[in-house]
Amino acid sequence: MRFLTGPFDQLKRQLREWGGIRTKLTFAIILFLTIPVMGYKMLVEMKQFLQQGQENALSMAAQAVSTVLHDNAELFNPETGIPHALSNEQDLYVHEMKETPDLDNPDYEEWRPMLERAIEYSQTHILQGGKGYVSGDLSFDHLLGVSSDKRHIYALFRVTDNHTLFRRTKGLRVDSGDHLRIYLQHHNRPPKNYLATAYRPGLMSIYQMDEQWEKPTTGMHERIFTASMHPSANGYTIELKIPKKLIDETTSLSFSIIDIDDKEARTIKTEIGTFKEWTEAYMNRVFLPAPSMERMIHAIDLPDARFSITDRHRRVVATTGSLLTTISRGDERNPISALLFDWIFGSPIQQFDEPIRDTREFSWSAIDLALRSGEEQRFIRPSYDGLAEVITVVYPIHGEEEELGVVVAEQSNLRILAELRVALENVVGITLLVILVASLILITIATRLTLRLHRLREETSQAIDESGRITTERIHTERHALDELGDLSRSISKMLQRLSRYNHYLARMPRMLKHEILNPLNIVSTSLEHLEQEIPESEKSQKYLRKSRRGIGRLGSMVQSLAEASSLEDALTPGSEEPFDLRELLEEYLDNYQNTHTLQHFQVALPEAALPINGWPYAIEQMLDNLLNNAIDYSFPGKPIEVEALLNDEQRVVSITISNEGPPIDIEIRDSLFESMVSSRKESNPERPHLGLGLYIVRLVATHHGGQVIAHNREQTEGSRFTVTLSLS
Amino acid sequence: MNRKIAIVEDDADQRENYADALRGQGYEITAYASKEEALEGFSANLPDLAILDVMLGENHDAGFELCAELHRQHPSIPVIFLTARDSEMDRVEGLSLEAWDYLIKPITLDYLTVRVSSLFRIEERLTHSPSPTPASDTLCGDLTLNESAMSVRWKEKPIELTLTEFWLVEALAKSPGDAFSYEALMPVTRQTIVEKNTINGHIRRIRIKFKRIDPDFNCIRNVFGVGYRWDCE
Repeated sequence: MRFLTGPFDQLKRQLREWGGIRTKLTFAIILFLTIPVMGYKMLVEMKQFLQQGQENALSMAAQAVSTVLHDNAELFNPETGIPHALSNEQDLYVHEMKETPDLDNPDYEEWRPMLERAIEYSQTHILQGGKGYVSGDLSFDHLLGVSSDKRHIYALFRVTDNHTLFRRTKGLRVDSGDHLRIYLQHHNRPPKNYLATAYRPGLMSIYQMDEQWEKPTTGMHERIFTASMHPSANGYTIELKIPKKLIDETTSLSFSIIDIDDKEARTIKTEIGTFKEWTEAYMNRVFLPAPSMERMIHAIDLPDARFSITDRHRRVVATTGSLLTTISRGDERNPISALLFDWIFGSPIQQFDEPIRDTREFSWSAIDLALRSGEEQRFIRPSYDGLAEVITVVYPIHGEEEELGVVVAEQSNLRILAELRVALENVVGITLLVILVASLILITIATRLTLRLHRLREETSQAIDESGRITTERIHTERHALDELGDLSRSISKMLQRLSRYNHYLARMPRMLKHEILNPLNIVSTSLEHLEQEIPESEKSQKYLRKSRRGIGRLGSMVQSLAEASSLEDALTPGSEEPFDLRELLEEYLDNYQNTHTLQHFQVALPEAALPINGWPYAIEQMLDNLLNNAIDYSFPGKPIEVEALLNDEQRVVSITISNEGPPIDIEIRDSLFESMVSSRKESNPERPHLGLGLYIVRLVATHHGGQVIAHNREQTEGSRFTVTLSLS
Repeated sequence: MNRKIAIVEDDADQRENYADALRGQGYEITAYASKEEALEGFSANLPDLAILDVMLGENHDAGFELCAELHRQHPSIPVIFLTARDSEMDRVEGLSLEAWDYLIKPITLDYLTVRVSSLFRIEERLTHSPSPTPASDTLCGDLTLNESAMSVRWKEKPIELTLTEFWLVEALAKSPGDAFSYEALMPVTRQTIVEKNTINGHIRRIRIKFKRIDPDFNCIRNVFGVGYRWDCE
């Protein structure tokens, strides 16, 4: 039954639907999920902290290396480690190669990672010829590399030539095609000239030449070198292999490319070299990573860290250690969460490596800054493959006047990441397990609690029926439970008992009250009668006696109406029913009622058929009296009162509905409306005292006729509606 | 010879008021406050009529017990209950003890004296001339009313009605077909306080008494929303 249907009421109902104990607890459980989040936050903090520590350790190591090299400018000098003062212009820098080049293969894949560091030689390096030089005529870029086993040095020349000519197969001239000249000089000894040429793509023939580069000194193939020549899109490529033992700190090595374009004359058109002029120090100096320096820093044994020393010209002078990090923490991982993490984030990185050549460019700016400012630089960069981060510390090596170079210390944070991953997995694993168990327990408890509460509510709501009568005094649900619900159940039982006793008392009270008042009333009334005899008749005495009699009369009628319900209840003894036609009764009653209430308009709708009922007609009359009086009292003036009787043949009941238009029933007293001595009337009429028994009588009569009475507020119009159902005989 | 009346009432004020009123009518009154006192008094001085309250002190049924005791020794002594207890069960209990009347407080002293005098009159008739004088009979169809003896006969069979019931039947039967509203019937009972249910109760008991003699009795009809009428058609 809905009494309030505003939007506010709907909101409240929705809140009630959503606000169950289980829902609330589920929300509370969600809070648990913040535990792993908090754990993660903490681990991130820890990562910062650990990384800081690692950085510091790395910095100290770099500082130590740098301190050893401080003011040791000679280490960078030609006499000790490096042939001479290094210059970017002249020196040929030997890069470290990861893969050994295959000379038979026309492509040069192995060089690919270093190609951008190739130095280009063109117009500025023309040694002879070059008249009317245009850029397409001849140019080349060049790279030197040392194999990872450090046994050979390789050279790559990518030559751009608009007319590639191989050596003529006829004739003895070795310089009849495009070829490579190699200038090799050991300390103070006379330089040696070598020439590499080829008849066809593939391996080249190498000859030692005389000083004037006119003819080979021996005519024999020089076996210490190996070279190959392959045509390319806009020229050709030459790869050269030199044994490393030929090169030491004192060795000078230079190259030049000879371009021959005239097929017939085979005269030299242009020569471009790796040096600029035929001066005394024309020769290039080969710069190899310094073995003495390498020996010095080799002793540093920091796991998973790489140290390299770079000179002022950005050249790596020495390298030791590697970033190769291998981690195996499988045994420490939580098996449940490890599976989950592997599924979500993939397996943990167990191995990490990064060759120095790939990533040098990340460090240039820091190296330059360190060289300029003389201060330590730190930064963390993502690794080449993006899987980890590399902590880099650049520490300058101070010389007397300027910075000699820098120590670059690098270490990946993979160990920290692995550590954190294991920690995170364990934290998350354990908390997830705990949350799962806790949630299950909580939800079980909540569900059980909800069910128990639901049952208790069901039984409690059934303990009081629709007309507000207490049907049972004892709640059986949870009666024996030891917890608060048990207490609640028992208190509800106690409350019901108390309420029932109270109701019983209220029901009995009119009778008791009547009995108690009647005796003193009798004294007053009989005494008054005597007084009437005794007092001499005067106008005043008559007046006062009249007033007294009226007062007693009013008191008496009040007592009588108090007992009306109980005397009616007495009268409705089973077995004293009589059969009658309710329709006839209603028709006659309403007709008579209309006659005595001429000002009130009634709208009556009665069924055609007779309504046979077994009961007490005068009780029905009193019930109608009370309902109609009530309807009139609460009606807005001038509004009709509707009386309708409806026959429900199937259920063998007849329902009498009396509707008025007036103030609605206060929801608070709706349930107790039919109780004894409950009234919603605000003002009292002294002539007609209201003791709240009218609707109690209605319910009494209805229940004695196998029916019930329900009060509604009307939905369309403002007003109330009382429906009495009575069983047909 | 003055009639002797015994009043048993635990409330001194009421006892005195009754006694004064009846004494004023020339009766000889003995008043008792409790059952024991009354029994003792009865053995010494037997009254012609006993007016009993039901509740005496703590004993809620003392009046009934007293009546039973009195009737056991002297079955012919008329008894009137005068009590505040008006439940149906109490009435049945009282009348089953062959009390002559069951009166509910508050009562007017006038009414009480009328009751007492008519009671003596009836008793006198019954003891001295068993057949009531037909001269004073009023005939209304099958109903015979004898006002002086306060007796009623239905189809020649006597029906024992209390005084109030007699007055109600008399009022209704004398104007057959006319509807009597509750308001009109109230003064007929000559009681101070009368509600609808008092009338309903009386009518119900009257019907029961008639139906005991004649199960088809249906002369007292309801006029729904008004009251009752006498109609044997």
